Amino acid sequence: MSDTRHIRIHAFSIILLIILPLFLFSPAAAGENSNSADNKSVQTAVNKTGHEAGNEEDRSGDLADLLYRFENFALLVIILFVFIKMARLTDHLSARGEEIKHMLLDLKRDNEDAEMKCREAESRLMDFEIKRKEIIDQYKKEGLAEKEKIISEAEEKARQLIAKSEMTIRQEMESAIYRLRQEIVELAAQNALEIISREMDERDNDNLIDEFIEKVAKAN
Amino acid sequence: MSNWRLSKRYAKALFSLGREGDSFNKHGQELEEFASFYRENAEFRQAVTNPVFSMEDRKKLLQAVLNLSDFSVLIGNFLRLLLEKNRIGSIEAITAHYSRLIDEASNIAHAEIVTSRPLKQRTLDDVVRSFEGLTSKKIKPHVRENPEIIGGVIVKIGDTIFDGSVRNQIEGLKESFKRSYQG
Repeated sequence: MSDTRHIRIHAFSIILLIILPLFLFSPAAAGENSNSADNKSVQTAVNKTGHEAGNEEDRSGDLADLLYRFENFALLVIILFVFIKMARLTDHLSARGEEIKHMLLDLKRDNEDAEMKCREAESRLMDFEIKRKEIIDQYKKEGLAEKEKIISEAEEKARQLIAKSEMTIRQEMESAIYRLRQEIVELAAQNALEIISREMDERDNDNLIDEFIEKVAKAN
Repeated sequence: MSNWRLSKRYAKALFSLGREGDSFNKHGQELEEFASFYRENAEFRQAVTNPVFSMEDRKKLLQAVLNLSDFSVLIGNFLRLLLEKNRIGSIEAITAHYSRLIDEASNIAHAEIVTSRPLKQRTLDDVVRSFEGLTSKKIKPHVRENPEIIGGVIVKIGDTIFDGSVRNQIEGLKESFKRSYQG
């Protein structure tokens, strides 16, 4: 950044040095910068002698102008040379060249680094891809194992459920048979009571009481 | 103290007095007569137990009843004591206890005999005789009919029940069948 500014300052100085002598040493400027009274007198003299001296006067003016121009140019070259010498522009340019060369080298190195990183990234990507496949395979294996486990557990539960159901059915059947037998006994007893009460006569009753008396007598 | 226990205590006291004179049977009969009168005459019952009337008036009323009867002096005094102690209302319970004491002293047992149809006298005598042999007590039978027992007889003496009914036998058979199915 500072180099760029330095270059700009130098360039501006060069342009200034080129333009300034043109103003200082040009014939018009020289004429305008001299005393106005002298100008007027010279102009008057020129005008007076112009009519008198004729064409020889005009050609000497052109020569002087050429001389002035030549001096101007020479002075410009000298100034430029001195200035360039002073500003060490060549050094600067060579330094800048070196800098650019370094920059190019850095960029090349950066490029190589980036390429290397790219290769590394590709390599890691490959590794990731392999790992991904491994993980997927592992998950598939685990999933299959889990599936087998779930199926076996479900089968075991189903077996237990069936066994429990069979036991429940057996118990329910036994309970139902028991209740049925109880009901049969109840009904049989009820029927027996009804039949006996219907069929029993006085003689049967007397016989029963006699049997009862006999039992009491035996117990005595 | 509960009314039942008090009644028992009064009955025992009277019975011990009657036993000394060997007149407990007579006292028992007199008590039965008074209890029967007390039970059947609601106005008398309300008058002698109502505290609205003075004790003197109630005593006079009781004395009037006693004068009309030929109760022994002991029973008269006992009834007056009950009135004074406001226990005349327990006369029926006392009489029942007294009757039980007489039965115990006379070696009498009451038997509740349940049959499905009327018993012939011969059969009843046989039943009474067999239980007299079993308990070694004189049996006083109280026959009651209950057709639900279907046939046979049930004899209840005190807290002991002798069940010879058809219903009981069928029930026993039924329970026996049920038990055999359980096993």
